[in-house]
Amino acid sequence: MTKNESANSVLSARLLPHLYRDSVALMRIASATEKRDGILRVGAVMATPANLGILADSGMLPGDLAASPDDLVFVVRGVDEQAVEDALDAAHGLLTVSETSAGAAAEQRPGTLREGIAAGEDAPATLAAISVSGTYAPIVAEQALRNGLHVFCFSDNVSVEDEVRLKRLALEQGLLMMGPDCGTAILDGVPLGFANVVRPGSVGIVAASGTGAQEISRLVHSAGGGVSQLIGVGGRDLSAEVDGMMTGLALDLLAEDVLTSVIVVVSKPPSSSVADRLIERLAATGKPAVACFLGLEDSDSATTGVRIRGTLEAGAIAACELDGHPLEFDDQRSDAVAEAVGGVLGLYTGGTLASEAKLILSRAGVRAEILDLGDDQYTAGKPHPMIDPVGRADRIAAAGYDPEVGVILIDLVLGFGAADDPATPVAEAVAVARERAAADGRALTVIGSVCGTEGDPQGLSRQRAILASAGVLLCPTNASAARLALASTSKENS
Amino acid sequence: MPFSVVHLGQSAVVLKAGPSDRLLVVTGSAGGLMPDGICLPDAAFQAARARLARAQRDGARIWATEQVTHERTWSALVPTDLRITPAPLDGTAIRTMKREMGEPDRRFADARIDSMDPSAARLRSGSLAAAGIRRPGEVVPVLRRLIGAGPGTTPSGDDVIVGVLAGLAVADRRAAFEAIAAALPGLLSRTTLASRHYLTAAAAGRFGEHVHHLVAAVTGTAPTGQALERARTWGASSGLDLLTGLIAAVSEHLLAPPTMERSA
Repeated sequence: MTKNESANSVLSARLLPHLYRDSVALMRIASATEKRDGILRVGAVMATPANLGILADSGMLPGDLAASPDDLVFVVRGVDEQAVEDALDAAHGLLTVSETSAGAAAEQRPGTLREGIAAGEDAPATLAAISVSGTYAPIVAEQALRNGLHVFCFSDNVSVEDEVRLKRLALEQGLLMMGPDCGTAILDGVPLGFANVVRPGSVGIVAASGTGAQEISRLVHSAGGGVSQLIGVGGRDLSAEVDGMMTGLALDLLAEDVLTSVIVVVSKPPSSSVADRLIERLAATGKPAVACFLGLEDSDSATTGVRIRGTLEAGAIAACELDGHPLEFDDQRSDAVAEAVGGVLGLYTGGTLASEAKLILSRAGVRAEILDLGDDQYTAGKPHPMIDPVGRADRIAAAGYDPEVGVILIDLVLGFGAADDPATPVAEAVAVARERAAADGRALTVIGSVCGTEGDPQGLSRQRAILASAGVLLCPTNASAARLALASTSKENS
Repeated sequence: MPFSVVHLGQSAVVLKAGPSDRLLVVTGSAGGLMPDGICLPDAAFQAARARLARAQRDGARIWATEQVTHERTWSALVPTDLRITPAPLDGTAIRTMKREMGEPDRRFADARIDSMDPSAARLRSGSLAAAGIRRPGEVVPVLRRLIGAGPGTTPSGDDVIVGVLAGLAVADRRAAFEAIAAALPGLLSRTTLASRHYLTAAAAGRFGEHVHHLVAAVTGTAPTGQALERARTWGASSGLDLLTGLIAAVSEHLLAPPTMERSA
């Protein structure tokens, strides 16, 4: 790596010897890098004398770059060293990710399970990812299980009877049936569904909650730790009907996984009988463990040693502490928020994030309506709001007309599978909502948090900056955002 | 001999033999055979590409005949002559393709604005063709500015050079072809391994079948629309870079017929 500094900017280059990427991929990565905060200009070319000459002529060649024509050079000019180094790190990650893990857009993809199995040839498939309509998902899942494949079932609208039948079949064969309605998994570093770019590490997560798993995994990452495996099980796995069948199997797998030293189970409020048995099973793994069951009181079980936590934030703090990477952050100062007149309207894309906010506000007795816009009742026939942010943006804008709303509470979920730029439509809608409220003589406070990492395709800093520029008060965690909303409405009450 | 994956493109996978610079280019039948390559049925190419992607990820060595074709014996080996033979040109087809392709962005004329845009190299295609046909003494300076210039594993300038050579070959401008071909070996160290392979083959008169498809359009033996579509889908920008060079050479040939070349 080489570096040049001038009065107003910093220029730095990363050399990747004998690395070849086609120009479409290079331009895509360069374009994404150029959009990052603090980045002025980017170049990505093979280091031939002609290209180095072009870079030099345009002031984009660090002085001491020693390269050969078979090296790829990635050059970034930015406003400061940190911005440039972060951009180079992110670009380096994208450039060196193997196609087999990132997925080749133009590669021919099998259209049926049979084609998929046949395409495996010398490296047989081990997992089927299913995202067909819920009507057909049980049929495909059963075919996959009977062919010896683990199943990641993104499809929802599958009956609980089918879920129980499929999970029993999976258990008989020692296979994972992740879902139905499983949004997130990271298996051996490969993200499935919605997932953030987190570093590999020693925290193993079993999740009956997609965005809950994302919030915990990204907080573990932000603390400096990493994730060994993230096994989704579907939102109903810890219900009395399904009885935690897949959570149990996932715990057995993590107990045997040498890379996992801390185990976290995360779920919306589970059935009490299931919760008790799972805590015992967690303890039986012999590894430090956190049961993050939304709504339970925080406690450290004297008999099992399992740390029970009732919010995602508390679960993440406990996991980070056990992992040796303490999670530290400061809440937004409550005096940063204006006095709110009206109640809290939560417009969420993440179900568990919505549940966490609802829990914190309801415990404090605050008047609040928290909507999970990813719930079936809002998504029938439409993309999930994490994929298509427009529907939520319309609701935010419409809230500007509502005199009952003083605070809008939002989440923004980044990562694979999420919209390319979810912040922009939200920021635009916030501006519209504020104008509408102001025209009616009211102030409208918008508070939120971003569930993402710098390595996510959307870029955490860039998305935060877009929201901040629209006046959204950003908090480090979703729970912290809910606490700020609470402080705002408390002022009204006081 | 074990191979390693040099480049995993959508249209071609380039393998390198051991520590040498010898390359083996694997393609599918839609793209066609490349010089010193293997061309597989498209489904087999996609399967081989997936295997090679895994091998690249794992840093594995590859035994080409087994892991590329996934067969221990060759079921068929079809010798293919990749030389371009002179043929009459179709002026209407050439004008049609030129119009359809549009002009390169002239903001890049000085090549200093953006190293990641192929326009600068494409704009120089005319200079190379003109130098080859009318001003052989300028071939080397023009080549020096083109070779290795622009985006991609085979930088745009190199594809333009291959296209110009193909155009000169089909137009039977031997003197111009030789002027460029003779200058290339001394400049090959200025570009990438994959480009060195293609340029060496082109200088020896051998071109990939995808170039032959483009040549067929300028001789009126294949539809121009089909050729343009092939060019747009070959690599990221390589197909259009090749076509730009080809069109520049045959256009220059039509502007400066052989009698003028001899008198120059």
